[in-house]
Amino acid sequence: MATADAVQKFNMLREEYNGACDINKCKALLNEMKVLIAQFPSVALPPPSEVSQKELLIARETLEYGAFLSVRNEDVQSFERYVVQLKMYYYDYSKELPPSQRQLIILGMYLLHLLSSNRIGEFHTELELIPSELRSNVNLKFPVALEQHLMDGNYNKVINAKTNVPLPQYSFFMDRLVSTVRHKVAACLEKSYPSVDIAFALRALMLDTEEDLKRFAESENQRKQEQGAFEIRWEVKERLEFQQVMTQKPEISSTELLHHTIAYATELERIV
Amino acid sequence: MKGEGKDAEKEPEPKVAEDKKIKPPRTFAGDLGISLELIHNGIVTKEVRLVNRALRNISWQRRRMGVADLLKMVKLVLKNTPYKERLVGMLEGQQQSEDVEMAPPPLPNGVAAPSSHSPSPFPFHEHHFDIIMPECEIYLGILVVTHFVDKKLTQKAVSGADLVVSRAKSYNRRSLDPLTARAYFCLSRAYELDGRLSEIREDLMAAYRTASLHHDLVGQATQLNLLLRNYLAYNLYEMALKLVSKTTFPENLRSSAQYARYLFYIGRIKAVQLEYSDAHGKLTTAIRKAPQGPKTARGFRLAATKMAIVVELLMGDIPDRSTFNQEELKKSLSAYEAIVQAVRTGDLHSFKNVMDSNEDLFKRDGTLFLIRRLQSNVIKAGLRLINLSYSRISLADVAMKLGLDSAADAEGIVGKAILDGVIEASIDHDKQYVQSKANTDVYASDEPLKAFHKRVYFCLQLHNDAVKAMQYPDEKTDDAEEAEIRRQREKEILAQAGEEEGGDDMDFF
Repeated sequence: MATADAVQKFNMLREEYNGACDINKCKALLNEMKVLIAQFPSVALPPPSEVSQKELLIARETLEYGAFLSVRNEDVQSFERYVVQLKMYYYDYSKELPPSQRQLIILGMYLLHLLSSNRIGEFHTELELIPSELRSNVNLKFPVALEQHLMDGNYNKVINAKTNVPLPQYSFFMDRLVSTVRHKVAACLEKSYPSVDIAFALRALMLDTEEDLKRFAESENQRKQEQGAFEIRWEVKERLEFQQVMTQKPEISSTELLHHTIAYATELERIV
Repeated sequence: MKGEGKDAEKEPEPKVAEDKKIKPPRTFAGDLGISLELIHNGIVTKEVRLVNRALRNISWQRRRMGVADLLKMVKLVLKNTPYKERLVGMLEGQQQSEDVEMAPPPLPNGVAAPSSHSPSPFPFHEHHFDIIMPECEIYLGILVVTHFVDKKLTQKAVSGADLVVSRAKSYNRRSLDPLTARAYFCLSRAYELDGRLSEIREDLMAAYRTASLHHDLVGQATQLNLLLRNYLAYNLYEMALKLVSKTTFPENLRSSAQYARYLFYIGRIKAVQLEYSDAHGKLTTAIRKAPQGPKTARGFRLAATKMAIVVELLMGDIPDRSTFNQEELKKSLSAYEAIVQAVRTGDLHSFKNVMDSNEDLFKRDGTLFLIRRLQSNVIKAGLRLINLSYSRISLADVAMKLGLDSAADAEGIVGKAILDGVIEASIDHDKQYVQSKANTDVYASDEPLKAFHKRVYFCLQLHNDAVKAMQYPDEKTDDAEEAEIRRQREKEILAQAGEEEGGDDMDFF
């Protein structure tokens, strides 16, 4: 019987995760578990003949460990896969199963992940799925507030948020978010300031030393050169200066104009 | 199909009844007779339009019919089948409970009863029933379910709808397609009222597949909309988006009502995903496609207008004042007008006030999550005003004016606004102020060109769409008889155009 087997394996996994937590060992156990879960009559497709709560709970908790492990392992893609599988248990079986205490943590992490990957559209789609009474939970409030600050451009608050993350698990995604935010801040800085002092630039860009800043400025210059939109050059002297690179005045593109005019002519021809 | 061929030679005969139909007074029985007549004619002449017209009569009938009327008609028209027995059973149960509630039998029923007995207001020839028995069954079934829905008897509506749909599925007649689509619509509505919408998702999916395979356009459009509604009711935007991307809305569909609904749902999905200009385009088209009568489909237009207002705000535009001055929508839009005012003046405090005091309303309208996102727009509008009025202002003052926590917050927000092109300014961090730049001359750029192109393109598009939407008469017009038929048809089209103006309530909920 697959279930008895699974229970045994599951206990091993739980012990390993809560105890020594050797990532490789856990992964091996997880893989075995996943094979066993796939054979559960409650999980199999087409629609389960009978829903066994026990089986579903085991499946759910296994996947949750999987998600946590992926975060610990810094494997974003596998984290995403686990969450997608978990969503079935969180939403579709919400009547049959008692809510999981890890649910909000995982959903919060997922929201942060979407935010840090700059997938704001999906962030909102996901948020709409979460019942409004759960949204006041601190684990979910955190990403929601962050999104609001990002949208407003209140990067100051984002920087502050980095120091009071509600859960240790979040910090991995926070680090990713910071690097996304850094590029946004950089774009704002170069547009809004002629020059800023080094200390402020370091704080705004969340960098530690002047060396880091120099390296970052270098990479910014290079990136823009490659993209062909090289209008502002970063220079680190006593201050961080943004120098306008001379560009030609915007010209009216003649080919575009040509295309338009010819298109009008064809359309008019058709009408007359 | 078989029935159609056999009776093709009888064609001219039923036309006589057609002419009489405008005669008042309209009674339920008489109207039902007309509807059945229309269905019959529609099937014989293979004109789906006539069947659609019969369906449109439902919105008139549902307001006049009582249980007794329905019961009588079901008994009179339908043949003895288990289906009929169950319909009758349901109606009788309902009648009894009504009788218990009000001791004297309800008057309107009593008045209607004798008129349905006398033969004249029921101009339908009995022998026609045989050919279109399945259609009669489903049509009456739809009426019964609609009645239960109107009376909020959800349990009965659900079981009735199940019965009708399964009956409709048991026939394999293409002439039933429009009726089946309507039956599914009732099914979905009944389940929605009962709060069990998620249960019929698979059924709808199967029905959509069947409709696609049969090239049943009405069915496809209806099922697609029902599925979208189903998903959106549970906030399953991702699934809805996947469905939309994998399917196409049937072209060449006459009913703009279904198309309007489709556009509305897409607009909602796009709005959640922050694709505002797309969403706004879809929503405004939906409003335009919806029936324009002051009473018909008011709820739909209201919902679409509300959504469109918020989306337009999110795009950074301010909706036209005339939107709020529409007579029939004016009252319901007042909360939204307040929101617009707050966004326009960039006043974060009054925005928060409006939002808090109307939170329940917005939640009910399903716009709350969009309105929450408006906050950054309010800030931007406020900044724009500040930028216009001051050439130089300290960051601390900006923070105070916008109701922000600190000057450092304001600095980031101003920076982002500059990046987004909301304002033209630069920041001096050392001295902590914002310096406005002189406005650049837009006429030196290619902006006018783009704007001009957009307008020309729109006009051309409109012209092309108008050409595509034109209808041409059929090729062969030699026969005298055919000329007769054509005249008949033109008359119908005219009548239909008049009716369509009135619109179809039922397609919107």
